[in-house]
Amino acid sequence: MVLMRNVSKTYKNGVNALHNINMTIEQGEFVYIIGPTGSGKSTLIKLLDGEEIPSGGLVEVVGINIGKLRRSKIPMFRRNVGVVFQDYKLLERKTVFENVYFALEAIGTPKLKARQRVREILHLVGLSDKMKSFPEQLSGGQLQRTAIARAIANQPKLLICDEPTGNLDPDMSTDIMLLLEKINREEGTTILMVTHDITLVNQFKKRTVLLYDGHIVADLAEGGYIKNEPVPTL
Amino acid sequence: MNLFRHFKEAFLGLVRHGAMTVSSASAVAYALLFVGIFIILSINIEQITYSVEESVQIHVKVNEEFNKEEPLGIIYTQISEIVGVLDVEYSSKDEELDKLVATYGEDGKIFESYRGVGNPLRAAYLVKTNEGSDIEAVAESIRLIAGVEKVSYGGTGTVQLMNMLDYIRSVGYILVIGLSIVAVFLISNTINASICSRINEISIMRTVGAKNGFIRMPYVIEGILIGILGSIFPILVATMGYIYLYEALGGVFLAQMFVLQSPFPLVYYTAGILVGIAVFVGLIGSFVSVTRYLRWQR
Repeated sequence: MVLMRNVSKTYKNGVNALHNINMTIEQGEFVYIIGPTGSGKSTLIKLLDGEEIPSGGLVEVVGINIGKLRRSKIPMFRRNVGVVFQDYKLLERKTVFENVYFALEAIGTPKLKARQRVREILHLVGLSDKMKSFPEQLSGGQLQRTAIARAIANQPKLLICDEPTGNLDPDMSTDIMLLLEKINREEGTTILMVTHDITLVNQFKKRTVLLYDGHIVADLAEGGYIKNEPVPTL
Repeated sequence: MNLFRHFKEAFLGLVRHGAMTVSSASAVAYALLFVGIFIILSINIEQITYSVEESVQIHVKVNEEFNKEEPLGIIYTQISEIVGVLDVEYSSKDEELDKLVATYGEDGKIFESYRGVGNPLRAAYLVKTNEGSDIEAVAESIRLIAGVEKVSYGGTGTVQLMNMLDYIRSVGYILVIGLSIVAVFLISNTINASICSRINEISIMRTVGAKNGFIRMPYVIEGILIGILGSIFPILVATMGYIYLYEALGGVFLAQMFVLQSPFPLVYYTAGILVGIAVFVGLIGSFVSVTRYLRWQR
């Protein structure tokens, strides 16, 4: 699903964000990417959704080489990757239904099929009764559920979640985690979740990749994160 | 089907971003109002210049002894050969008297007693020139011809008037072109600002895998609609205003010589030009703005 071999990324301003990253994520996996601010998590996401291209090495997502991905091919590539943001990025003037429908409409899904899928997906995320609500009428958890519904509406193979619980209280965060687990299980979607929330990482144990200063310093297949473990210096 | 969606989105965009729509359309309206006024003004100045040029002619009085000559005699030939002369017309003593009588209307009948052999008036040649600006030089040349008693054409005042009209006309055209360019910049800037305020929307579209054409289309339609909305006010003001002014002035400006252009079909043409500029500018402005943004982002 995701293959990163000797990947490095240096921005035009000279910042070295990633160094020699090697990582493979198989289909159906649920992986946490954790690390302090400035460790390269955001750059990693940008490489995986095609927003940036690597300065060195190979990045392959759903079999597509990101380094060789032409601008004109990006829209088609993006249809394989769903992204959920910390700040939801919903369209304020569209209802929950319209926000999700919009993602399917944008990729040319026939109207009836799209409407049916939106209902299906809103049922999955538990928002069937909020279809006609506007974002301002929803709680943080409901907003994030809408964003997740939009991200998985077209059944992407990979779902990238960028701090999806960053703005939520612990109860809502747990709800979102349960939902992501459900999606991972029921839709078979591979999930890559970037988080700061160590409690969640320890509560819902998954494979955990620790980034520090642009390097992968730990890749714990059994999951969990020992709170007092000193971060290795490189 | 898809086009229907794009139109729907464009309309929703206009309504949902009402304040932005109003400010963009107002910018279009102000710019086009000036363009409209100057179009009407320029066409009228053109018309006035033409009618003044048409009506201005050189009146050449012929000496008494030449009156017995054939109308198309040597003086006619000499005048016709002068560079810049468009047309020469002979007016006999009787015809000159007719004009004199007509000029004074009812009171003119008093001059009827001159008719016949005792007519003191001179026969004349009425000379028209190609260009209004030629009139002074042509008059000078005619004055040198033997047998010419008096040359009159309204004097330097006429020449100055025509030069001034020429000048105003040129300035008018420059203003129309200049204001159209200003309108293009103004409209693209406001549409650009409208798009900048919706970068979030565009970036979400990109995230879900929408193609550039799909993202661009509603914005382009919206730009065109803003242009059309913005052109309504200037079209109404310019056309209704001109029709009212035309009626109020009785079709002439100050004097009978300054005949104004009839409102129809002038107002239709003006409205067409204004809508054309608005649509073009809205289309280009929005297309350039969205495309520029789409090119920055991967």
